[in-house]
Amino acid sequence: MTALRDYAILAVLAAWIIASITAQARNSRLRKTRWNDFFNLLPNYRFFSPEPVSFDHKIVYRILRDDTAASPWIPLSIPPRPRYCWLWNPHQRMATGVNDVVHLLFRHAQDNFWGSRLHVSLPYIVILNHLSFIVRSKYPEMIADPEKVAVEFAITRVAGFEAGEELVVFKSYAHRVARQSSQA
Amino acid sequence: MNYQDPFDFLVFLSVIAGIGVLVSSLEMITIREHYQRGGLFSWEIKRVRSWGVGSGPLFHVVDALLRYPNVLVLISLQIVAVLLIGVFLESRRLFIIPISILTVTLVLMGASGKNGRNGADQMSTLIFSSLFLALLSDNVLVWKAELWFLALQLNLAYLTSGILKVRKKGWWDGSYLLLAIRTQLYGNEPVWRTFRKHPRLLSLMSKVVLLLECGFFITLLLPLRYSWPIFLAGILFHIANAVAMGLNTFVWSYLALYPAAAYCGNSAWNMVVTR
Repeated sequence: MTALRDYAILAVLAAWIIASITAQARNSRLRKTRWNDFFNLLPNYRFFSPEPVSFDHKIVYRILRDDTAASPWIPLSIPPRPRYCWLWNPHQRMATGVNDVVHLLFRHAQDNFWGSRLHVSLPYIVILNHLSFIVRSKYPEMIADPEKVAVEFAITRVAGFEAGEELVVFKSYAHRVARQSSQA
Repeated sequence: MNYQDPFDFLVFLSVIAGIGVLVSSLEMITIREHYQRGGLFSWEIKRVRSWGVGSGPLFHVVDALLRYPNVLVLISLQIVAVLLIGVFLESRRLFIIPISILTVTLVLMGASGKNGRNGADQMSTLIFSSLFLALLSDNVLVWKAELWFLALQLNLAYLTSGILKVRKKGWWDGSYLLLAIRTQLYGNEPVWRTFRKHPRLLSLMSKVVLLLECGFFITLLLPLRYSWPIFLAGILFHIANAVAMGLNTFVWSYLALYPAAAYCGNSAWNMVVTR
């Protein structure tokens, strides 16, 4: 019985390493399986490869009200990296989170299926949901009547530390800011 | 520490990886508002992704645990488990307790997608979940297999990244490294300015990265007395990434695997030499 258990563990470890190797291929079928989607147990080791991230993308939003002019574009702020980031860097998770969701949105935009339905895709809804939350919590006076308030967002691209123009690469539709629902 | 006993190596690497999980968990708690409804990492939206997976009992359990504020309990449990690693360090029977807590919580967190998690968090999940499997057995052979599993994961990580890079001219001349280091996301302005001013230094550093990533597998063939310069280069590489790029948790989760690679290198060398 003990031997059987040990063989089973060895088999799982062997299968896991083979699956990990297979999953590194760009169009790996394994990577597309729902199983992997669910627990994320197959690693992705393509760090900065083959081409690195070379631009910064920022999310900006504005509040549209029926009775007044639109607010100026407001950047989704992420605190700067501290000097001791080699030890403690919590806000890098937010920066990476924004980068991930923006790149997923771009991937969906290039996709035949999602291209025309981008506004109901997961990354679009994640961004919109987060911005609606910010508007609701930061500017409660502006959404006294949610039926008259909408939020719109754009994604801009800058070449990192290089001086240059900030290009708008994506602009959303305007969406009503609903009150916080009781059930997701 | 007995330098021959695979269990001691597993304990040692789990302590290093545990520090990484501790830092990650504290960071996640610091930005906890992003896990609540409406936050960037809100599970209430991300769960849509998992609808196809099921409406069965497993999904309902995961769904309940990843909701805010329950997710904070999971993250807090990780902190408790890391502290328990320190408590049960000397006990072979009880050591599995913190490892199993970490396995359950890390795998559950993995179900929520990336959600602010990075490659270091993913490596921690691999380390502790495979370690949990190995600790279900008291067979030394299984523990050795676990060390090989972890050493191969480490080398797969470096080799995948390295092989993909060597095929691109931009990594040979350093222009891709310059592109990466110019971003505010992963870059560093003083380093970027220095590299732009000194293209030879840039090209050299880029080649060093290629060499390290593609050549690290040699550590699996050599004993530590010969391979230590490669390990030292790897340690400096991760520290440099932490200082210049802010990739702080990678230091812990990746360097945690170095003892496994050192053990496997020694074993492979001894096997060949004694034969």
